Amino acid sequence: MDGTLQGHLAAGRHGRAFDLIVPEFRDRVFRLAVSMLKDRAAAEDATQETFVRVWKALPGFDGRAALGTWIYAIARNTCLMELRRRRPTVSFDDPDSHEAQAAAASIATGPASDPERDNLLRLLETLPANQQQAVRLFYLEDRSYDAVAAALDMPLGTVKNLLFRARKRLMELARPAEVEAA
Amino acid sequence: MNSHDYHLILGPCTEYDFDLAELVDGTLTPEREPDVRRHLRDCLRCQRFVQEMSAVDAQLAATLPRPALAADFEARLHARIAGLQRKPAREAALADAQREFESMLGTLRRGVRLDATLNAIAMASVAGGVVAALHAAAPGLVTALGLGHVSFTAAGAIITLVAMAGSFVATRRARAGVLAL
Repeated sequence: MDGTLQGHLAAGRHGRAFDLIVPEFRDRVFRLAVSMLKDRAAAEDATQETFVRVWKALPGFDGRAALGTWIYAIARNTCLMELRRRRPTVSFDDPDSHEAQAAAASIATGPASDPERDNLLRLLETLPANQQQAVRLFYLEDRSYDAVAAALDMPLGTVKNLLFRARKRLMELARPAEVEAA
Repeated sequence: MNSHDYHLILGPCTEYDFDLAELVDGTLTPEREPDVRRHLRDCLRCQRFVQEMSAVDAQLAATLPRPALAADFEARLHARIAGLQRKPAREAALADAQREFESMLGTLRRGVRLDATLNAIAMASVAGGVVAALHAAAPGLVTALGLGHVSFTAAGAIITLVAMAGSFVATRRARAGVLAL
């Protein structure tokens, strides 16, 4: 498939290349957008916008970067623009803010009220943004370090370190209640 | 505080904690795994860490939502792109129409200028003719009006020029009003 895709790109058949790119990358781009925007609808809009930009820019793609790296870069920029646009009203740095909680709840697909689940999501929201994103993406990508590193354009070691610190911190945050109970 | 709490507070051995997380994730290298497992067998703190890390891992995997793209995602994307593809064609057609309109307007403007000029020349000819005819038919009139020949000719020229300018402006304004030029 990749060979065919590269063949279309090399021959300047951008429309046909695009038809192969969308099914290949749409879910990965969507998962990256979910991990950054924490909102299903916003992530879907950002995914649409990403592929429109890919379509427009494809004739200028020179192949110096890997196609996936290039698409992920467009996706990250699209999501960052969306976050910048939201900034006056939504602050993810403040985990207790109404907007942050609403955003966290907006991607919930499980039962409306599950105290254990809600507590874990609340604790996750207290972590630094890069750790939260790494954790969300890691589990969205079926625990693939490589997929997270590719999507975030980070070295593998950095991703492992982020995930280690994030989960260790979650353990510590969850611990006091457990110790008191014991 | 019992030994269980003691292990919780102390945490894992720092030289193994990162490896233990990789062990939980199943990504620990085969070279490193025997040493880590050997240590784990004898260290209650690290055993507790692995248990806790496994629990958090399982909880995150079960808890974090995994939304999917809407079924019509690709259809909407392709519709949007089709719209973008049509847009340049539509814009090109509009630009062509605009160019044609401007060209037609230019032709009309030139026509109006020519029309006004011809009208002015015609009006000037009529005015000049009237003055000349008066002079020829009634030479006594010049004397009766108390004008010399030079003054009469100058007055005739001024009347001709005013008639010419008036006609030009009137024609142009009339055409401009109709065409909104």
